[in-house]
Amino acid sequence: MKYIINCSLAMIAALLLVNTTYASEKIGLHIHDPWIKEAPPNATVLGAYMTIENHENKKFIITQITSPLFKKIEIHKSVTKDGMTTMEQRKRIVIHANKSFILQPGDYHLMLIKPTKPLKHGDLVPLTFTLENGKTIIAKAKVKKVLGSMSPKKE
Amino acid sequence: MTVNAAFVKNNRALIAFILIAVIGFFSWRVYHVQIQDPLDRILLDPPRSLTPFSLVAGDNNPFTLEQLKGKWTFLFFGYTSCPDVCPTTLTEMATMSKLLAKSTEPNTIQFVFISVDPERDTPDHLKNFVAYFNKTFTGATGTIDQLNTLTRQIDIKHRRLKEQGNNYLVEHSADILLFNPQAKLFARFPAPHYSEEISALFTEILKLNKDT
Ligand SMILES: [Cu+2]
Repeated sequence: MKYIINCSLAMIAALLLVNTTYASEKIGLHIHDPWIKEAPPNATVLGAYMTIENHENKKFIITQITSPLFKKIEIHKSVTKDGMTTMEQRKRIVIHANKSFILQPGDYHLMLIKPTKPLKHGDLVPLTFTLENGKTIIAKAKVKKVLGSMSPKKE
Repeated sequence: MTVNAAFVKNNRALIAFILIAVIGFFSWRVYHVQIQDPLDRILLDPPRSLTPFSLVAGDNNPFTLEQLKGKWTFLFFGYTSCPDVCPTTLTEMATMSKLLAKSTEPNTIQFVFISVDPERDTPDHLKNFVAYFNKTFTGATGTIDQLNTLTRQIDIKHRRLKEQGNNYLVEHSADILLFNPQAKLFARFPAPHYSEEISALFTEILKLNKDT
């Protein structure tokens, strides 16, 4: 019982800490819980994950993501075909009307290239998303150290 | 006394027998579905011997067939300019190392990450990279020819994808390989990897190995 209470408290604490949504006031497009997987200090690339929610009746297209803490950011998808794994680059992210777009480990991710300084658990990384219509959304992704199992869930 | 009670009283032995048979059958099924069938899918029969290969680990230490001897080895191929799948697998391997530390003798298992991107991943860069996941992990690499001497023997494919200055991608097999203490390829675990699942299967492998 004590274990269950501890777990619930930890989960509530995690939700309070983690649940952050970033939006531009005039756009119904929300960047939900952006986070970056903490990497070895000598890593040259990091992965960022989030859920992008579209609350409007029209689609949005993200064409560019930048950060002052990285030289370059690319949109990638990890794919495994015939036992071979690789990443495919995408030019843009399309979020259809009233739909969500999920970036998660083993799937779509932002590849953050060449950090200007080593990042560690708890750091906040500003990301600027530029839409096709020229508008921008700024989000702060939290760097998190992942300890347990984090492979994509089995069906 | 009702008919049912009388039936139970007169056929106790028969009912017990049926119960045991049913329980026995289901445990056998569960064993098969959870242990035997997955084992059949991952084990090499017979284990595959390797011819010598020569790679380099951190601090200029050799990583050859000799380093595979005397311990069980979990081996994964990848590269450090990979932000998603490779660190995820190394995290899983770190969890496996923790899980298996509880159930196995110390220093009987090693974890190795081999980079198939020697142009960007030097042995010392690899050493520091894997140390983040677990201080005891080994990182190694070699020239493409040296890598191929090993990878061709164990059906690991790897290919450099596109040229974009220093920003190219590498395609590689994502299996975790298991070698036995005689340096023979013993099992391969296809992606996606779940540390609990692989650890449980490895514990079964150790048990079976003790019996024979
Ligand atoms: Cu990527």
